[in-house]
Amino acid sequence: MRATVLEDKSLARHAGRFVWLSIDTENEKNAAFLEKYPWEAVPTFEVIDPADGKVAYRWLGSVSAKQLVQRFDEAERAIAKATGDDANGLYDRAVQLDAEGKAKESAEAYEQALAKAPKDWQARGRAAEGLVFELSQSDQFEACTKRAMEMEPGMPQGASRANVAATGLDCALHADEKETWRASAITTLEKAVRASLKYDGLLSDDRAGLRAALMDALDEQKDEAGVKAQALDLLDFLEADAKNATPEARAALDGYRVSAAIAAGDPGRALAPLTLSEQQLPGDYNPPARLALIYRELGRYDDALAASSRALEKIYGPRKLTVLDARATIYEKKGDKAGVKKTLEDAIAYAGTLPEPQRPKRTVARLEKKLAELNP
Amino acid sequence: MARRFVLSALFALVAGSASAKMSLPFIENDFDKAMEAAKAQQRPVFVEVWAPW
Repeated sequence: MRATVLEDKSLARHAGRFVWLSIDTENEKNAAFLEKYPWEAVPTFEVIDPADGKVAYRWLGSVSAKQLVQRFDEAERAIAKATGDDANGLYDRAVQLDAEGKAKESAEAYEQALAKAPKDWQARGRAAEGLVFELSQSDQFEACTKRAMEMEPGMPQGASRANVAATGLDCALHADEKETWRASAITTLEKAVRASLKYDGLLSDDRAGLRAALMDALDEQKDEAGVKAQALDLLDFLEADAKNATPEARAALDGYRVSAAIAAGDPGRALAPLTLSEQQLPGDYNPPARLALIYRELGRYDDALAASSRALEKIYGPRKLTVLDARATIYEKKGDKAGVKKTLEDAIAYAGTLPEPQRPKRTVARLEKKLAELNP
Repeated sequence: MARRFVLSALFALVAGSASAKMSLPFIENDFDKAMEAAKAQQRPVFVEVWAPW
């Protein structure tokens, strides 16, 4: 998103609508902000009303430049506290409830908005997306799956329909395995996600994400051959997409490349593109951190440690713990117990220097457990 | 995050991006400064929360 949409020149004319703030979750200057406004995923976009300091509007995930402008409009309406019991008023209320973290109430408002809306309502797609998202957020997996299956076939082909299918599939996968409706819902929604890959107007990020969602679905169903085939399809897509992309846009999808190459049983296929990313983006710690994982999978432990060291030279913030954790697994596979111990100790010591809101407690607990197991 | 599917944010842990040239005048990592500007200009603050992953 940063590498593509926010650079779009057409956005410059919207500069006067907001005060623009970018928050790097890894930067310790942002500890106080992140304590006040906790985040669940990146990217998250939120609009804060300076009158009361509250989040009036927010969403997770990348959007296109055109969709971004629609969200600017919605954010301004949310700030204006538009009310009313027509579809637009209910929609705005749903958006506000989401910003307040009230997923269940937000889902209800979306449902009411959809019930009142005229057939050709321009916000229908976004409301459908909002509804299934909020049902998922409030753990209503059956309602989420069923509403996705009801709405998806009637929606116009595009990003909203793809998102409804993918969210519905995710809900079905998280429903209790004993539910009798679950298996057929997974089949139906998997088919819908597969069909959405052909839609026009999706971002490359979305197209990769949809393929990854399918990979996830097959993995949940323990379909090993299916996962492998889907991983190969994702790799093919990434390689074709890379041909017309800037280095930044290409590298932004490198994470998918790593997961797909490993899932396909062919980690070596990610070596050349990751090496290229490291050459083209010398200040970025991600390419060497990812290369370390690939070398580890290939059993080239010294190359893996060298790549990990290059990443550690550039890295800052909580993400350093993840890279140190991965480094410990390289030593482990190499059979170097002293290396494992020292790396875990370094990681825990570093965690102690991070400001409290940025200290990833679960990661620290995991590292401490690993270290404790080393010292019986 | 594992359960919270958001298109494009699904693999947020691995699919981040590097620094970029912005078309909008972003204030970087300074919430207090942004809030002061917002109050003075009577405009809401648009926040992008990202990670250099």
